Amino acid sequence: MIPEGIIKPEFERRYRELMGPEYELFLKFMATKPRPTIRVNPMKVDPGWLLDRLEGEGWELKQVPWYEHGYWVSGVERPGGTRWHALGLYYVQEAASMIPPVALDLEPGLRVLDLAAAPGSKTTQMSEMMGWRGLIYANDVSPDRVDALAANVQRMGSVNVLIFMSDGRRAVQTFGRERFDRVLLDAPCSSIGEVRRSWGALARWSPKAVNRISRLQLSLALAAYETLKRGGVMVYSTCTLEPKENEWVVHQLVERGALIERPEIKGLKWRPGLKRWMDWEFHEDVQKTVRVYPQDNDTIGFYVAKLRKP
Amino acid sequence: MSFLRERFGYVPDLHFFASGKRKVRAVVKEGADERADLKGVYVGKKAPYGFIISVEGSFLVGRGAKKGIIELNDEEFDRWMSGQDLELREDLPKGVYIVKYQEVFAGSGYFNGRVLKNLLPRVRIQ
Ligand SMILES: C[S@@+](CC[C@H](N)C(=O)[O-])C[C@H]1O[C@@H](n2cnc3c(N)ncnc32)[C@H](O)[C@@H]1O
Repeated sequence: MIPEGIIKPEFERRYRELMGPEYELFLKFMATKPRPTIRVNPMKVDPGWLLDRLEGEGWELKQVPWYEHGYWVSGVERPGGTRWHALGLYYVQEAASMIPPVALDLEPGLRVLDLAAAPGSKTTQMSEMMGWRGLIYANDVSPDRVDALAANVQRMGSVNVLIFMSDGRRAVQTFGRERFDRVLLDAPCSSIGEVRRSWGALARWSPKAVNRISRLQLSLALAAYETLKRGGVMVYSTCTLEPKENEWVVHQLVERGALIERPEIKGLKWRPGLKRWMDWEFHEDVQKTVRVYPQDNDTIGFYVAKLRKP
Repeated sequence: MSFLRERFGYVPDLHFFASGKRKVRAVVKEGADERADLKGVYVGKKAPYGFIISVEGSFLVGRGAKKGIIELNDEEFDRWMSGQDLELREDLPKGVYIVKYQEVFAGSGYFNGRVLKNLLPRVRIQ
């Protein structure tokens, strides 16, 4: 159970509206830890070999349907504490966080921008999906987090990654206009989807904080979109379920000409983006964006929008 | 990277560049002329007794290497990953060797004629 007093009345009011009759179920999932998940690095090891080893060591593995190298694991205390982890054969990454790279239609040889990249879960996943070919420009604003990004890029062996430390709101000045085939903006957010990992986000939540971060997200999203080539794909994602941080931001991109596409995510249960929220009415295509609730696939909560620049 | 060719008989198809006085990094060739705060991965560094290969370097080079590799058995690999030096079963010339265990590579060691000195950085030791 989530301790008394952590959930603010306004939070409850809004999430009852968002979840409808599922509100209690939603809370039940929010109160439990998410299942540990790993992402095998096929560039460093034959996945079959590693899976055999792990099973031999007593791990139980269950494949994540939407990413071929993702596995839920049980029977192990600290998945991040093994020699195989130290050698970069896998990465501990929540299953829902593997969705945005899958939505990005990656192929080897592309030029990709990852504007808010640290600590590099998705950067290294994309690098592997591209077979270590092409180039990924991985950027973050926080020095400590850039260190973590660099350490993960090293450990996973991602030789096609370039690291930058800059304010993503200045992406055009840093990287140039219409420069990338793919852009990922996995934005900083109120992290409501992450509450399963720690209740801190619930304690910090307030409508004011949501509005503040939504403004940052919009500036980042507009800058990210500027750097995208015509015909290119951009994914906007967050680990929150706040409409002001999700549909509202995407709606602003649509107003500036972005087209929304429905991503194909194998085996994922998801809800369409909202039509309206509070006083806002969103563009009809916003319903093609992806809301993932914790109770849907027993993951953290996530939001993913796939956009194309015409 | 003539050193790699000489020592291991193989140079991966990447752009190698100096990082500081002794370290060498590698990035895909498309990244050669890009400006960034950090590019690609650290592959190794010069030491008085040879060129130390990092864990990532050992994966990149080891896959195509024709020589300069030492293969470990289960027990040796356990000891290696816990940071110990190894006595070797065979007679080898002195020098830096890439360490291999079945499908995977685990950095490099310096064979001083007596033991294979463990050069794994502390963060990789479990
Ligand atoms: C959700 S996290 C990114 C997680 C990462 N994509 C991954 O998969 O590992 C959001 C990141 O945005 C960064 N950030 C916040 N403000 C930023 C800004 N103005 N420019 C660039 N990055 C920013 C934070 O430092 C944080 O690392």
